[in-house]
Amino acid sequence: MPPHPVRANHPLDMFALFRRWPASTRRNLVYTALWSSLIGIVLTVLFALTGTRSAVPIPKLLGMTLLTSNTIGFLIHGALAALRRIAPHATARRTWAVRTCQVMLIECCAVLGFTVPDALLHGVDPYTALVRDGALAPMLPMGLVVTAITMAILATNERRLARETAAAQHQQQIAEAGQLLAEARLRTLQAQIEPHFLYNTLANVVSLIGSEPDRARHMLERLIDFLRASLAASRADQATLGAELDLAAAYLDLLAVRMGARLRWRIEADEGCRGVNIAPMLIQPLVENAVMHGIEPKMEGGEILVRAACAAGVLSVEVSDDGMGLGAAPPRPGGGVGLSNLRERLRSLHGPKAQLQLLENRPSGVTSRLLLPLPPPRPLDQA
Amino acid sequence: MTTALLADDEPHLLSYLEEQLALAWPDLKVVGRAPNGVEALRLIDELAPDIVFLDIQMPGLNGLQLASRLSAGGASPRVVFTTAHEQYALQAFDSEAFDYLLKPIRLERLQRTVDRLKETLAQQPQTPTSAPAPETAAQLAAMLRQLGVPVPNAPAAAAPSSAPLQWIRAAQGQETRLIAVDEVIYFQSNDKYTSVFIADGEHLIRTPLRQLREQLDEQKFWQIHRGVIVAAHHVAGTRTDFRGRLLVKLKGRPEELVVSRNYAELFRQM
Repeated sequence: MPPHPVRANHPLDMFALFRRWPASTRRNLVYTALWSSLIGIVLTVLFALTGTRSAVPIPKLLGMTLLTSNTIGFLIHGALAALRRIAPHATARRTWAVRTCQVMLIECCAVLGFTVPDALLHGVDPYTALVRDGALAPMLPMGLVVTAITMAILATNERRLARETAAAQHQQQIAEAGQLLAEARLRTLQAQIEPHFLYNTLANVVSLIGSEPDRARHMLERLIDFLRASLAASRADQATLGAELDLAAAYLDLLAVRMGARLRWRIEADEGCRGVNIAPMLIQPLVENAVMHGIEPKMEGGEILVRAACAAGVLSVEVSDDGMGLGAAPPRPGGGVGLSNLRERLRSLHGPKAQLQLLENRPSGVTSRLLLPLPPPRPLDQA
Repeated sequence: MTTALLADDEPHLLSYLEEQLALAWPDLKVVGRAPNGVEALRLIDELAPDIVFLDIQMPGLNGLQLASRLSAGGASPRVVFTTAHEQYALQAFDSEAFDYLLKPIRLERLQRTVDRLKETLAQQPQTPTSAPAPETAAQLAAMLRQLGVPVPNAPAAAAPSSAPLQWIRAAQGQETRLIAVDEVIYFQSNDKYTSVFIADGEHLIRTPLRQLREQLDEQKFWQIHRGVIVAAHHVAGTRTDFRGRLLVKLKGRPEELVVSRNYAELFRQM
């Protein structure tokens, strides 16, 4: 199937009024009659005003012009429809071959349209009229004028159609991105209000209140930071890298208190990068994966390192752990390791310019590498 | 004197449980504390406590796996599970747990458990388990799977070698890329190597296609040519070209793949 099915457009589609009726064979035939007759009438008025054909009475002139314009109009209509039928793919792609064919067909139709009705009216054999010395010569430039006008209208209409299709696709992409973001928000919210995380964290706070009240308070403050940041992130369309890294830091800090010596973590980010705008909740799932699949299942624990750098128009965020590695991870219910939604979001946000790579670390563990195109620098007054 | 062993991978929770137990049962002697399931199993073997308090989510062996091993091994301690979430309650009782405590543990609730434990221990100091002992690790793993427990670190026998491949390792310069099998669009044989095509590019791996085929899920990956295996869910459709060859169109990649005559039947029935 061609990317966009061929939508037969008509010269009258130039006018918004005529676009109110959806394209169909019957509509296009009516439009061709209308369009050709309009041209015929305009030409007759021009002839009458300029006095070019003053020898012919006006009603007869009108009849002749209408006949000629309608003949040309329907011949072109038929020829172009036939071309679409014969080569639908090429027509949709608007190749040069198709363009050449269109030009030649329209030219032929115009010449035929100018000659044949005229000859028939005068009782001459159209073939003789065509091949008679010198009869074809004045018809060619007239045909060219018709061709030029028709092609120009055709091309304009096609361009408008292409523009509308692209706009519709863009709209759909925006809608898809919005839907994926909504899903990601829901998922993140579910993950944070994930009972294990919340209850375990609170259980730790309770266990520390008596023995180490300062530590308990620190933990509660970090939990509040984390909930506040993740709720904010789950509502915003745009976040900064710095805010997303703070969210990751609050999360890792909480887990480090809970897991004790088993979890060590570091975040290293270029200072210049922290202000970069990125979509929210692209990094958090990678950090959660590193904890859940990397460090938690490993008895001796390990280290998580989050690194962010921007260079050559690309923001690179790496989340590395020296944990169990994915090879040992049991397949999660729901498929994969929850990265498919993230991948789809990347695709709808940045197309092929964004990438998510998973790398195996030596001697153990996984690095998730997120590559995002850097947005153009913001004007200072907006910052 | 009654003895107990506590196991939890979160150190503060372990200390807190010990403090609470000291209040609820001052006579109880805590003989061991374990930060993971493997250590807990070792200490139980060594110290033979009367009661074990097991966290369910632990690295190495989780609490449920540990309990199943205990009940498989003759004289067993009373098991009290502790967890932050009810999710495992049913499984816990399936594995003949004595009780099930939700964290954060309340003293009143713990007191009830302690009272019941005292009663039971006074009546029958030791009960031989009635649970059938699974004979092999594979049986144990199968049993655990039936209970819905993921078995990450079970012995090799637990993971049948015919399990379909999940991850593909591809060298990329100095790095090793990990590619989820679900991400693969198609594999193409390339001499001794195999090209793995995903949406954002091509990766070369050393495993020959023939060997790879045996590790792939037949339902999800279809061989369409001697040298090509395509992921079923990435097939967008088929068409016949002017030479009469059947071509497969793909989601996520522009190229079309030729289906050889021997495999064309695969699509005829669609």
